[in-house]
Amino acid sequence: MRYGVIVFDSSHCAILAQKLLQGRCNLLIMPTPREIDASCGISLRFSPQDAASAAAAICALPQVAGCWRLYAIQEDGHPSPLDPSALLSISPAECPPAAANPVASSPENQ
Amino acid sequence: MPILIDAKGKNCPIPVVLAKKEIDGGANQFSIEVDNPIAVQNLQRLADSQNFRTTVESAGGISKIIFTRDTAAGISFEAQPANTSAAESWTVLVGRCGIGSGDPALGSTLMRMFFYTLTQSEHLPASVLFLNDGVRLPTGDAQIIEHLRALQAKGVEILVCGTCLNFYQLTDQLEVGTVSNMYDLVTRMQQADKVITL
Repeated sequence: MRYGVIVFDSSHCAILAQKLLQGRCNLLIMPTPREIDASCGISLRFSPQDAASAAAAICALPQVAGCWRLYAIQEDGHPSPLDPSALLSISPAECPPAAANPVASSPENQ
Repeated sequence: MPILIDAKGKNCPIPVVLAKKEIDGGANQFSIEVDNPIAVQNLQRLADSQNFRTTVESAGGISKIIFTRDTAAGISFEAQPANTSAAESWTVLVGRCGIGSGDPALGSTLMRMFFYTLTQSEHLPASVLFLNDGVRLPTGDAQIIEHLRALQAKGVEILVCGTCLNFYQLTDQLEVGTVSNMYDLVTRMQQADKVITL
């Protein structure tokens, strides 16, 4: 993967996650890649070598449980979903993935 | 009678201001004398942006820059092209540490996303200027500092108001950019085809 992103269902979730993760992870705030259907235009980017620590960190935040998804952005820009429990070799119960389908296919309504 | 402007002993931005006045007044050729190399560079940049050619004659620390309107360019000083080319120069003025009013956390987030997006794009500003609360960014925002360094490496000038740094006692904490003054900041705004204020 070229880089990974944490994508959110709402801007409040995104901003809260970013605040809670500040300083704990190498995360950059970026606009959600156009190739991903997401409700929120704010995403957090991590580099490939930080994928496991980013996944562990966001899994450990009950305040944002269920409102985020992980993607790997490939070299050609194509996004592919990342399963955090597979990434961390833990059971899905320990870090339940959000709903399989995006909550909305249009940008967050203002 | 050829127009000769004596700008010796005048600091930036005065030489540029005087030359621009001649250009706006419709002069097709004039000379201006300065006594410092920064002024020569600033005047050449002005000439380029206004479709003037320049020749420089230097002797004994004094430089005479001769401006000649480039009529081959086919653009009169009155008519600005309606469609701006990709080469249009722009400057970003950051007077706050977040974009927009409202929630400060959202504003900070938007500002970080703005600079991230700039680093991913081709058409970069000639300069980014920080004043007042904006100086908190090149001193204290790790993500934005990283982006500003990347922009600087691509030739974007980062200027930070020295008075503002002093006011907020952040002078020692400047991580990226050059400590600047109002003359230089205004010159960048005058030289740009457009100034975007965040």
